[in-house]
Amino acid sequence: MSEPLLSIRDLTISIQEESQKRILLEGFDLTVMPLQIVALVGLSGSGKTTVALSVMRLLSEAFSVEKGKILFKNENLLEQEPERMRQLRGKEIGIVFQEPLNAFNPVFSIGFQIGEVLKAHIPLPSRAAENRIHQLIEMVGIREPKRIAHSYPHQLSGGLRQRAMIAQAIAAGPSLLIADEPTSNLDVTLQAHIMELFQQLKERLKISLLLITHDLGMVGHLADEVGILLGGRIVESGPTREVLYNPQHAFTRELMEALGT
Amino acid sequence: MIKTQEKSLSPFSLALRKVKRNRMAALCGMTLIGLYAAAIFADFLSPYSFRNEDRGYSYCPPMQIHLVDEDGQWGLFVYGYRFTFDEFHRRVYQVDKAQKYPLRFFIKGDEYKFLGISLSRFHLFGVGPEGRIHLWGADSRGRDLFSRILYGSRVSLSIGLVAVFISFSIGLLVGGVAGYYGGTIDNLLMRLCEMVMIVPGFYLMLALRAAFPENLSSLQIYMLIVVIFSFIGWASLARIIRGMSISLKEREYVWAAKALGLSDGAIIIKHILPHTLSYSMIAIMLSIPGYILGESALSLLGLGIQDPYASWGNLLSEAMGILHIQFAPWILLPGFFIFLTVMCFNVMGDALRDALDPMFKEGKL
Repeated sequence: MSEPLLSIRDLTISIQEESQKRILLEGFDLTVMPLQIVALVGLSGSGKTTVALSVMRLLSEAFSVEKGKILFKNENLLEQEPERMRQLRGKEIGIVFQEPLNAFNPVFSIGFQIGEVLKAHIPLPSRAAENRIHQLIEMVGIREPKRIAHSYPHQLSGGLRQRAMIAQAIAAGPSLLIADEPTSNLDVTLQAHIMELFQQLKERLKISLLLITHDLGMVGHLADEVGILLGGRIVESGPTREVLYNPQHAFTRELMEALGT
Repeated sequence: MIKTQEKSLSPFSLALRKVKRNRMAALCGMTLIGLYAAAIFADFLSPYSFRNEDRGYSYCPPMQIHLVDEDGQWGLFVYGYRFTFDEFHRRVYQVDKAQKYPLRFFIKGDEYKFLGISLSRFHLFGVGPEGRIHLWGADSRGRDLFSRILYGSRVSLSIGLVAVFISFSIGLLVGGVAGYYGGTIDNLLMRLCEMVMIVPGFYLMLALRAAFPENLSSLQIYMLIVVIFSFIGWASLARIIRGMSISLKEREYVWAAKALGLSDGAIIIKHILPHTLSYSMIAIMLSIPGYILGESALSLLGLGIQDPYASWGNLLSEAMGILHIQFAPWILLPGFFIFLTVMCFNVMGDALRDALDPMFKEGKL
């Protein structure tokens, strides 16, 4: 098999709280191979979002990386210059946030904000960029790309916004997409649609997906590999089938029981 | 299929709609548009150039346009004046019905450059070379006050806009950068702001003006005033924008923009500064009058635009001294225009604030 796309090795992150340090992630390991969907499952507060933000190098100054490496295409992201990081964000690694209403700037139209990503990474003449924006919106399964492109974030429903956000994340053609609880604010039918969309995008765009969630149902449907996170440590990981049908760790079993499967 | 609204309205056009609904603001807006249009076409609208003088008409009172003459003949015309001297050797003008000057339109007069491009001699109205028309009277040297107010409006009205444009560009940029980056940059920029702010504005203005040579051309003086105003004006805005920018940079869409790989510059300009727009629009509207008054004050003291060039401030400087006001009250007219403009900008600023404030309920005022 080929080289891993993203490989996080022994990552330890702490946060400075008043006078003491609190460890958020300890000895965290994770590998995402090309064209793989890897799920990271854990309770809230277990450090899932910290993983996503540390890959993007968007953690604020209060956080510090104690040790470890984040290798993306054999480049250690933790050692990159800010300008190189800026180029990687969006262009190589895309991210979909949990709450799409907050992730869009309320004063610009959806089309404009997707166009912005294009402008930052692949400059196109304005006509071509417009076509590309419509194409992207269509690609995430929205039927009226022109109308949506001219709409403002508050005018769209939650499902449309989430799709628009995915369109924005894939605009510059990243090879890795990080989705941080992409469906937790949506109802069940929409969750199913979004899952289907991720599956399609993976095949169409040849991208890998790091899915951060607490929804084991989604994991079972989508993920090739899964890692179970508890209190900042990976307690169990492996191919989805094995982990979900033959859980070794007590916490995984608890999770499965909570689901009632 | 029923077609719903094709294009969504931006917050700005929604606000504009609200301003239009406010009658007082609409009136003031129209007045301002009128004043600015008059300033642009000043040389065409005025019967004389700003330096055209006739000492025979010194302090000549305003002339009335008549429709019917003594013999019952119709037509637009003005009567000339004849004058006698009183015991202080001042001229006392009396209407002389024997001199009748018909009003002519598109008449040839002083040469000017129309819109700064093509040479032209045509003026909207005027009288033939045998007489003179002074709708709003004349000043001590017999120059037409109507024409000079029109020419003066060019300086007085534009200086506010230009100065506000420059000082707000600096203020927005400094505030945005300081708030976004924080730390040392923030500290340095804010201390600089405070240093500018601790000096009282008007005295700083006088001192700066005094620091430059006296004999400058009118264009140089104009530029100098603009620069001085911009230098004073940016600091207070920068401080407020900095505060807003600190809170805005924590918004999720700023994070999202970072995560999508936008550069810091693009984030400041597109995702932080536009959110300060509702505040800065109001601040702009409300600070233009300050610049107009500032120019007037400088020119009134003889430090601004110099004679023969006109600005409302230096036109008013002729009205210093109670004797002149008693004798020729019409030279106070530029003051009325300053008042009108300042009031209009203030009303517009207030209306804009109400329109942009989402908490504002109609009929609450």
